[in-house]
Amino acid sequence: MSDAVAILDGVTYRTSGRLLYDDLNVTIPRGKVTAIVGPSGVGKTTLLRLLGGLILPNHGEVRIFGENINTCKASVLSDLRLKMGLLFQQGALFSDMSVFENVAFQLRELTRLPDTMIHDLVVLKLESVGLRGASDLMVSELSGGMARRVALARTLMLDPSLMLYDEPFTGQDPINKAVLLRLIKTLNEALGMTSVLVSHDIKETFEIADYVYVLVGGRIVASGTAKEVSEKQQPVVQQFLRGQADGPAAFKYPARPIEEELGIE
Amino acid sequence: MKSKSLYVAVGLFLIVAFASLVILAFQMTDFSSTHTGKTYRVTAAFTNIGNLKMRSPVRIAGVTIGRVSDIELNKKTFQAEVTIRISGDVDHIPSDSSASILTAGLLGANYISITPGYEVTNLASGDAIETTHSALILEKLIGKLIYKKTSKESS
Amino acid sequence: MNNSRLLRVGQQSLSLIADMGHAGLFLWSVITSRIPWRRIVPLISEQLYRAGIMSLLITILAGFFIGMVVGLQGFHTLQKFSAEQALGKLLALSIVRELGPVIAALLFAGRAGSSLTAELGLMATTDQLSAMRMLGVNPLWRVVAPRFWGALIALPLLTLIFDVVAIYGGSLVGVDWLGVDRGAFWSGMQSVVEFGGDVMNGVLKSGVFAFLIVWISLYQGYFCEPNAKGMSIATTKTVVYGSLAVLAFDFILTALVMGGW
Repeated sequence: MSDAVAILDGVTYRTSGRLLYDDLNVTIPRGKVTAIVGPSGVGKTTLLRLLGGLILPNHGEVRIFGENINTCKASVLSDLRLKMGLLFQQGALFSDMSVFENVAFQLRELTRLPDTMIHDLVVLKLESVGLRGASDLMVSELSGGMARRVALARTLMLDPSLMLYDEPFTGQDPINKAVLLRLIKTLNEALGMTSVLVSHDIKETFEIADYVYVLVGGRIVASGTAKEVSEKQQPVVQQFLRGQADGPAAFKYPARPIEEELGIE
Repeated sequence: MKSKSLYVAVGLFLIVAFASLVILAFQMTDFSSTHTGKTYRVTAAFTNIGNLKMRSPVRIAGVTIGRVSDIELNKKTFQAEVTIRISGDVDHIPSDSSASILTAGLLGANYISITPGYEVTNLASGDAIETTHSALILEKLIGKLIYKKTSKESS
Repeated sequence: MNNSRLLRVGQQSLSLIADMGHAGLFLWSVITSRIPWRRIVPLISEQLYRAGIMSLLITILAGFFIGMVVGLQGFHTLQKFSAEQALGKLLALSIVRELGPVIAALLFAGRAGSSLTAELGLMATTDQLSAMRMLGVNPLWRVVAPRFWGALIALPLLTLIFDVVAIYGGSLVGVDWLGVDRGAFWSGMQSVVEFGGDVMNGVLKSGVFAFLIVWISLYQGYFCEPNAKGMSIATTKTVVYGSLAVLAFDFILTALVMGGW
């Protein structure tokens, strides 16, 4: 696929002895919302970290905008990252700065804009997530949902062309969820931004995703448009979509038989 | 930004630290007496320097006028060649002055005492003090005393 | 049995050496990471504030009490030899050469070192360092290097302040309370304390201590295990390793300096 923004090509990743991915292939098409869904613990967050170049795969290639991030120079990688934004699950706001300084961070560190211009740009971004009034608060004074919106404003400061969202809907109240959904969709449609969404909130995710990958047990078990995936008859997909404990995807962590553990013969 | 008050605090901190350095230099050390102004070097050879060390004081009439800056063994004469730095404003020490190594108190540190002579010419940089008196070594003194006593008694 | 024990010892020493190498590489990349010119003053001032000024009160208090204790102990010991006039010399030399640099460094390891570790540990645990990387800013120059230089400058300055406060504390006890002659106290001190040999050596020592403490605390914080337990282990390690390093290097440096004479 030539119009791919990001490609995971045969990626194998091992963390503390556990094989997380085995020969994983994912393609992120330009200008679309791609969702990666799967049960918790399957390594969805790790996938985003691989895309951001924060960790390197054991085998295989990660290519972003055509550059192989395993082998490219540090300066190239940091230029690439300016075109990417990663919204962390907990926001990852800088705890020693105010909301305003968090959002202004990139402008202060990477540009030489005058203070008045920085102020205006930050206020505009904060307004777009509805938190203009909170600009003087410290990070510790924010609720979880607000923190994530501030983080979104910070991430969007330089208008990245590829946005990675890590579980954006988890732990959000319904209003926040709806606002975020709309925001992601607008960004995608209005600015032509490519979005990658990692989530296990099926309903919200399928609502906006153009393309869905289902990740179970270290490999992609199904992919396609949201509609195609929900109609797949594979038991593992159906189990996940319907939320059943019994099925091919292990809900239980591997253990010896319970009879043995309890001492019953 | 709150940077203004931050800079004030940091500036005050730097000033206090620098003031401490100045206090240490002028109130608690002899910084002002040895490290300011010019000095000139004079050498003196001793047969025994005892516990004399680098930076030991050099005094005239008990007033410190300089410090020992170098101690070397003359490999021909087997004498200790001591280089002294004397403060530049004491520049009229007669050239026939003598240098002796004395001890401050019974067990104190050694220092060099210069006894002025009567010559008209003065010591200049690079000159050598000809007349020297070595350190009194306490053990030798006691040894001599015992020897004298015993030899008196036997005769 | 014996064989496996030997194997374990080998593995442990190998991992110790690997840790040292890792820490060394980390130090190198911190020292060589360049802070952009226009950001140097604000970033380092902020860390100077946190490491220096936040430790100022504890340093002054400790210096004052230690000076008073040395004054008191010194007076009673010297009095046995009727040499209480030498209190000024004893006090100034012991403070400027040893107690000042060492105690200021130990306090610094506990106060500033542990907070550096905890702060960096928290930033790593809550993904702040990763977030910074993703924003295209290298945390080494933005977060670690300013803390390194700020703390490296702060400790020698704190040591100077400690020295002065401790000596005045000692003079308060010795001269004002116990009645040592003021003139003898100060002139005795001036006659033995040397600016280059004693005061600057003390400052140099505290510079070395600062380097060790900052290196240990930044390394422990930056690479701590990203959870609460890992952070508490890292903070403890900072204080323990930092204090031990200070004491061990104090001996080495003292031996080097004394040997030179």
